[in-house]
This record gives sequence, structure tokens and C-alpha cells, in this order.
Amino acid sequence: MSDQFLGDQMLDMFIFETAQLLEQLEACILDAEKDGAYSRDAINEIFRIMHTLKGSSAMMRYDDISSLAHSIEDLFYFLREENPGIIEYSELTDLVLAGVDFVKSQIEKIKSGSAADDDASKLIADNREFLAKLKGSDPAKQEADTAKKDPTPGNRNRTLKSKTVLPAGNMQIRSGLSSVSRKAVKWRT
Amino acid sequence: MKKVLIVDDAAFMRAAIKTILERNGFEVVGEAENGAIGVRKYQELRPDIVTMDITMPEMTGLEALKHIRSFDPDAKVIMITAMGQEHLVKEAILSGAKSFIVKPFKEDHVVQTLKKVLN
Repeated sequence: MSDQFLGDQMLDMFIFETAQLLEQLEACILDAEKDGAYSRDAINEIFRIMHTLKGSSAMMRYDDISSLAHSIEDLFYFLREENPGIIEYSELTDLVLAGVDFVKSQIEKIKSGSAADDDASKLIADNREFLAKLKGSDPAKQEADTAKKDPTPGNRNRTLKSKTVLPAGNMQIRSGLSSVSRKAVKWRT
Repeated sequence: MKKVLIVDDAAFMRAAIKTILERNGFEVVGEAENGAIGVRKYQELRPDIVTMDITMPEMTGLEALKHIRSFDPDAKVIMITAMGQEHLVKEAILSGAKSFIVKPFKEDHVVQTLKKVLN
């Protein structure tokens, strides 16, 4: 597409808007870290940011950025639709921030006139793996698995109770800033 | 010259669509960054055709489509969608969207789709 009609002006707009999106994204993540939870609004917002980035980078033919954004969008689509409640949020934050770092480095390359040709496949694979893990720990599935493994009613109830300590919609982050997010925070300031 | 309203939350996308349309003989009479503003601008500007993104804040493209169609049952709305949104496209068509364009799109395809719907 870029060879057809997207001149310098479109490239500038892409760089500008992507920088804005990344800033909003980081603000969302920092708020979530501060509050110890990803709110429904934050999940929706991150989903939408990734969706927008997927579309605009695909138009500019930055396929690695687009595929990476797609893989993060998929994660937040799952969180939005399935509301799994209890997950490793520090790991999720690390994955998103690793994505942010990748996109930033590509944008820097684009700005300096080089090809944005870094390979995002490892990051995409990490995101997919995490999503698979989330799907595997789906509460409904867990319940079914627990029922299969332990048919004793008393034990089953106890197990379920211990797994549903967190209210849906108030997703807790289990630990503080990880090394990756610390780096991102430092970069930001 | 046919009048177009572009509804998309991404400034980049609006500019891309506007660039294509303006150099292919369309007049872009308005732009909106979410569904709610899109509905208001439709009522204000009465364009011949609307390009409508689906995923937007405030009001989604699907909701905006429904509002516009209830205001004007003859409204011509084309959905702009991303890959992986096929289920939403089906709902949009059932709600009265005339056609859809998938991102990333090509200039010819955008122009042809709008022309076909307008004829």
C-alpha cells in the first residue's frame, strides 16, 4: 500500500499516532500496576490500542508490528470476553511491555530512515503461549477437571473456593514491577 | 461529486481513506472519531455514503450503523473492518450495512466498493 499512495505525510502521521498510542498504553499499564489491578476500562483500552496499531501498521506494510499487535489484541480480547479473573498479571504486563519496546525500536528505525525489519516472531510466540495457558486455566474447564479428578463433594467445594478468591472484573496483579516493566518505566521518565 | 463521511477513531486511517477518496473524485464532507460523533455528523451533513470503522470508543461502528439506519433507512454505510472480525461483518450486514472493506485495503478496492454501493 505504501508504494501506492502513502507518502511522507502518511508516514509522519503513522509515527505520530503510534507514539500517542504507545503513550496511552503505558499510562494504562502504569495505572494498573499502581492500583494492583487491570480494570475493565484498561482491558478495553489496551484491546482497542492494539487493534488500531494492527490496522495502521498493516496499511504501512510493517507486518511484524501488525502481527505482534494482533497477538496482544488476542490476549486482551480473551480477557475482555472471558474475564478469567485469576491470572499471572505480572507476566501479562511483561509481555505487553516487551511488545511496546519492540514497536518503539521499530519506530526509531523508521524515523532514521532504516528498514523496520526486526523479527517479532519470538514475542508473538510468547504471547500465543501465554494465551494458550490462559485458555487452559479457564475456570469452567478447571471446574470440570476438578470434578473429574476429585468426585468427593466436600473436597470439590474446597478446591473451587480456593480458586475463586478474586472477584471477577477486579483482576489482581500478583507481584510488583518486574524487571522488564521497570526498564520501561525508566525509559518513560 | 458524491459526499462521504469517514468514521474511524484512528487519525491515520481517516487520512488514508480521505487521500484515496479525494483523488478519485469523491468529496469528503466530514470525519468523526467515534460512533456517537459519526451519528451526529450524519444527521448534520447528510452524506451520500459513510465509511464506518467497527472498533471505536464511546460508540462502536455497529451501534452507530443501527442509529444511522433508524434515522435514515436508505443510508448507505460501508464497514471498514480488520482481519478476524468476520462475525461482526455478518452482524453489520444484517443490520443494514451495504458492504465492507477489510484492512489493509488497496486503493482500487476502496474506490470500486464505494462506486458499486452508490450505483
